[in-house]
Amino acid sequence: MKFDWNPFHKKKQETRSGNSQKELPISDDLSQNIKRLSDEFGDNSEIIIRELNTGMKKDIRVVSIYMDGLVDQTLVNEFILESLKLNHSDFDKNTPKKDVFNELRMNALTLSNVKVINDWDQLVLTILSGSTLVMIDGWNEVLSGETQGWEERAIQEPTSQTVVRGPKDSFTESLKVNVTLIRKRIKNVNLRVETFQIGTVSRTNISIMYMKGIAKDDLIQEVKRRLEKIDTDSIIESGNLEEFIQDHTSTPFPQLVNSERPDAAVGNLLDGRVVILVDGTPFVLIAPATFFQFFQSPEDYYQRADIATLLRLLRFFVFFLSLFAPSIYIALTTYHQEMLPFPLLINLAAQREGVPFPAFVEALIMEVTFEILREAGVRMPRAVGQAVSIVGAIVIGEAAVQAGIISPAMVIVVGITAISSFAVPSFSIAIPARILRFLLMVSAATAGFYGMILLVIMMAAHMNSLRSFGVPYLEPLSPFNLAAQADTFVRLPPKVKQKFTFKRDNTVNTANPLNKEGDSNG
Amino acid sequence: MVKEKISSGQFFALLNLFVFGTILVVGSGLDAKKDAWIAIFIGIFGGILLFMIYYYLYKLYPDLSLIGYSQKLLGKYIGGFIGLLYIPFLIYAAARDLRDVGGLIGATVLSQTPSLFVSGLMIFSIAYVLYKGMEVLARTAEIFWGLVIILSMLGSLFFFLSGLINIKQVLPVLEFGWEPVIQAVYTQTIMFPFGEMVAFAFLLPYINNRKKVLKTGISGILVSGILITYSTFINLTVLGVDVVTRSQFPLLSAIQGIEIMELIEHLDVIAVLTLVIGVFFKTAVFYYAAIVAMADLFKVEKKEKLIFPTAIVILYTSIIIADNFPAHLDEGKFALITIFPLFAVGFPMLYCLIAFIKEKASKHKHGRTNKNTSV
Amino acid sequence: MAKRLLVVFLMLAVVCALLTGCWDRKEMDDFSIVAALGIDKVEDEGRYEVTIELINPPEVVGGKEAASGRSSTTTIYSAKGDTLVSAIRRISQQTPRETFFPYTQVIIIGEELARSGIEDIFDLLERNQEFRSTPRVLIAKDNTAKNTLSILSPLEKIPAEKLLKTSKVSGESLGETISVKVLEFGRKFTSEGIEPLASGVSIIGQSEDGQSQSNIEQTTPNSLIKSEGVALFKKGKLVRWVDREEARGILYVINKIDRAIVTLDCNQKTKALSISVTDTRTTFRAFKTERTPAIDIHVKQEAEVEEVLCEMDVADRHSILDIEKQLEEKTKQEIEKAIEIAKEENSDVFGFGEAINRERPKAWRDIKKNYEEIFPELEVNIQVDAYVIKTGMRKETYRRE
Repeated sequence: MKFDWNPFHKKKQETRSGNSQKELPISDDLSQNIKRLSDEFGDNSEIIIRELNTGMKKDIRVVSIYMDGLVDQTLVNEFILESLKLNHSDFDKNTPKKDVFNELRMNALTLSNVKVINDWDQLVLTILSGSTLVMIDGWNEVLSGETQGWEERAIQEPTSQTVVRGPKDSFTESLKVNVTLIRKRIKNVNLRVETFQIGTVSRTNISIMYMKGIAKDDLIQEVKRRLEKIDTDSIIESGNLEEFIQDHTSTPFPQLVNSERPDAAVGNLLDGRVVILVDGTPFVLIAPATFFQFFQSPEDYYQRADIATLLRLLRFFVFFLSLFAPSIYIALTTYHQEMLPFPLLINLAAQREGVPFPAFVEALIMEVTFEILREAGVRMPRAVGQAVSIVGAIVIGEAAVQAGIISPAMVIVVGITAISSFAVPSFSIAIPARILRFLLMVSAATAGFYGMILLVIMMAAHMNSLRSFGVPYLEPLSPFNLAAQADTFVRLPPKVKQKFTFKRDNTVNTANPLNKEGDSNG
Repeated sequence: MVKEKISSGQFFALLNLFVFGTILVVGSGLDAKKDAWIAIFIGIFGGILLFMIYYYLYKLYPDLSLIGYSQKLLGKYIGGFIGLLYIPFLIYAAARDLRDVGGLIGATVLSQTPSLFVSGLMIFSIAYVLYKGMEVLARTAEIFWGLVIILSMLGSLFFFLSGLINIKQVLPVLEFGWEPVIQAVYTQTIMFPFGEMVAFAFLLPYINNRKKVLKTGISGILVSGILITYSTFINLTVLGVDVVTRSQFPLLSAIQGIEIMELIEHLDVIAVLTLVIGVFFKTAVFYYAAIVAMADLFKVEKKEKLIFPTAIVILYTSIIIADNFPAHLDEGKFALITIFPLFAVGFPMLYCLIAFIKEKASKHKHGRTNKNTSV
Repeated sequence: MAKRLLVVFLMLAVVCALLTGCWDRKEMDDFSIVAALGIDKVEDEGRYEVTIELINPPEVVGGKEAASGRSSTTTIYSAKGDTLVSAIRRISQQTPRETFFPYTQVIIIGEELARSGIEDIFDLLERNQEFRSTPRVLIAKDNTAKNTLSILSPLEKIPAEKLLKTSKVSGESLGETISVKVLEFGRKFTSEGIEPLASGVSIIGQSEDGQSQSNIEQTTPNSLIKSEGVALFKKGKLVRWVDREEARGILYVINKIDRAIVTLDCNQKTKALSISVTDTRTTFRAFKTERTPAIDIHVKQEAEVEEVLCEMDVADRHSILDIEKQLEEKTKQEIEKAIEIAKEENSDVFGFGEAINRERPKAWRDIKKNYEEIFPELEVNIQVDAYVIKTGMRKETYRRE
């Protein structure tokens, strides 16, 4: 079913940790444990095993273990090593080890989060997550202190979803920071966080957040069920995860919203959606997603309703342009010339004079050129960026027209398409437009507007067949939901909206993911 | 019984598009000349009566399609046989609509493209939508209903702005009295477009809110009926009765005349697209009804399997039913007084009668034995 | 399965787009745009001579695409044939490209053809989907359509545009010509109780000179196109030209006047007062007299004082009343004259018959057969209400002593 490309995949059964499946006890012999550790980690130079003696007579062997680089060295030095070295009451070799362990656990370690570990797998995982372990010779339980502290990117301004007015913070690569960014905006006990570890090799931390009481239980269960069902070695980015939990694979349309803005996540949480955070990526996933959500920017809610509405309508128009502009041009100039106003027709006809390619090929060349430029612009080193844009501008804009290979009007059309595809607020919804644009161009070249309208109906049907976590993709347009119109194409001001609809946005609330039957009393 | 469900709003949209479907393309009731619009308006009430018949049967057997209750009422074999007859009927109706599109597109936007290609693209697009299921069809209809309504409102605004409407052209009303109007009502406008609604007898079990079916159905017929009355009226006022009766596609000829500020003109291509949307859904409804009929009759579990072969049959039928477009239209007139009344009125009436008698009988029995529950 | 179907569909589409299909695809440089269509009657080599005016887009647009400004913006082709289509096909022997008709702006009919009957030419214009219903119909007065189309015009690069605009502008500012769409013209042809009208165009100066580029390079061109007169038809044949005030009278009745300039008398001085009619609304009704139906025409006019060449105090209410009265009288006269002409030619261009049909269907059924005899006898009552609503920027003229 899935393409199995990963060589680790076969070892899955062996490496899988399954919490209760294969519980390995920890030996009470310290030397044996150390040996076992060094065996497992191999020649790994990062693992630091520091032996020291404590107790009244310095005759109790204690070891602290941590991964260099994952821990905050100061924390380890001051709160673990320092506290271990202190003379602890009157312990000596003969004190029962249990007492020593408890004493260390209760009184010695001056860290806030200290846990007891008694499972080997857990132990390894804890080291790898950046905690510091304290082992005592002769006791089979281990203490772990949270000492994570590695270099992290600071919270910065969002780069891909910027706003003029609104909060300027964005998620970072750290799961903890990300949870905090959301948490500090909603001071409510009903904001729940649940954490999973996914990926048999990478063991990536993944948290889901939701508002208990607002989000539907069915939805939460469904999200959890899908997360638990994931069978993979690693999750590196939220994009990986998206592919595992989305409803439909063979569609260009994104079925989960991603955002790097905490305020957007918060807004969605309060609308009853579930936010999925993946450790190591500044993008969170929001489920369920509908098509129209991709056209909403958090800024819509920070600006006055009138301009927000106009901008939202503009975005739909822009999406329409980026999807249809080249194909409409092709259909108009090769099939339905009679639709053009007379002066424009003459103008276009004059431009076409001597252009060697049919309009379809011309458009194809330009669109592909544009995609190449765009890809080059994203991937290339910053330093050569200027060169590419100059070459691009000269090649596309000037030389092609000068040489008479491309008509100037076509350059305008491609330019509009390009700008439009960048003006769509969500990058992920610009992608289906990018792909479908070419299909539309083919249909326009085949049967003009007739081919296009058929393809458009098929596209609409295709989108109608999609569901994201049980919510119809085109909700609230189809199935039609009058109450939700207050915040779909337009945004009514809150006071008006309250009159318009009694309930809060019930796009999600009424959705019933388990029962395939959407609520539809439109 | 049926897993997929459509809402009453979607039913309304589907019914509307179904009624607009081909009638906006070719027009109906033109035997009544200047009073064609009156003929269509009266036809609405005929349509409502017809719908009541289907609704009566639906209420008795809310989970069954026409095939289902046909077998229940007349027995497995006779009922099955009549049901069997419905399959070619529905396929024929779908093929007729497909042919309408072929003719329309061929005469306007793609004059040199073979109509096999035009119809082929259409039927395969429909097949794709039907693969996605009834629910997807209905929800897509909902969206395009909105689009069609917006476009037609714009269209009529343009008609008013361009000053083409000349009410005098439909005067005098009832120039030749009621006779030709009534004639046109029962030879044309009841059957086309309203009699074709028999296809919905196969789809009614899909509706999720059973209580609303009657209300939605009647309001759907009323709204769409009034809109086509309006469109016929506009055609007559813009073109005059002579041109309308001479045109193959009256609405298109009327729209061609729109000219506002030298900017909004040549709108006929857009009009063609609007018409294509209507015909798309109309054909889809017949097509799906045929699939439902086959699935019911031959107890096919997976309807999807039937879709592709049926598409080819419909496509082929649409090509062979007539040699040319005028012959096709002529045949349509003939079909409206022969085939359509039989299937749209004849059989359903028969079922109604039998069901009525059966119910009476069972009530009778029920009263005596006090044992049986109703059918 | 659904995916497979989509794949099939797309493959079909791609294959068609790239290899076989696209039967209807035509690039913009595959065809040339027809701006005007002229139809003349000929005796030899068929029935009609069709003249088309093709646009040369690069020349019209100018700029670097234009081939050094040598060629002209339009080219005229003509050919003869028994039917219009056969003539048009014959033209394509001369033109390098396919002809493209949807943008035909005007259809010019030579006077000779118009006089001998044009009912046959409208079938093509209606039937063929390339023709629209919006081109205006013009009649080449005292000339052939071919000659008229050949005149190059200053100001407008495309002669057809020039024709269209001339007829429109003169219709708007003088109220003596009318712009008629093909659709309307054709409709009046076929309807009972109404006859069509069309405007005329004529050539001033020698027409040979007008065909060369040099014509438009002079400040006083040798040849010019002039929009002039209204042609009355009767059963598809041109029967009479009417001009100026008579034409205006007709247009008053059929409610086609936007603006008109009327000269009135001022005190003792004749024709010294220019009044511009800014709005005219005409309604007419049929009513029944004892014998036959009769027509009531009601005209409502709004006017402005444009120019005063005499001593008159236009600020005075009485003089305004006087002007209004004069205007009413004048309009009435013009209408009466126009009706008289129409009756002479027995051509019901006003649609009185239609009005009777509309309002007195029963009476119409009786007289339909012999309407031709009844129309000249038809009783017509005219009532005009004129209102002067503006008198310009001055109250009284400066010549007042």
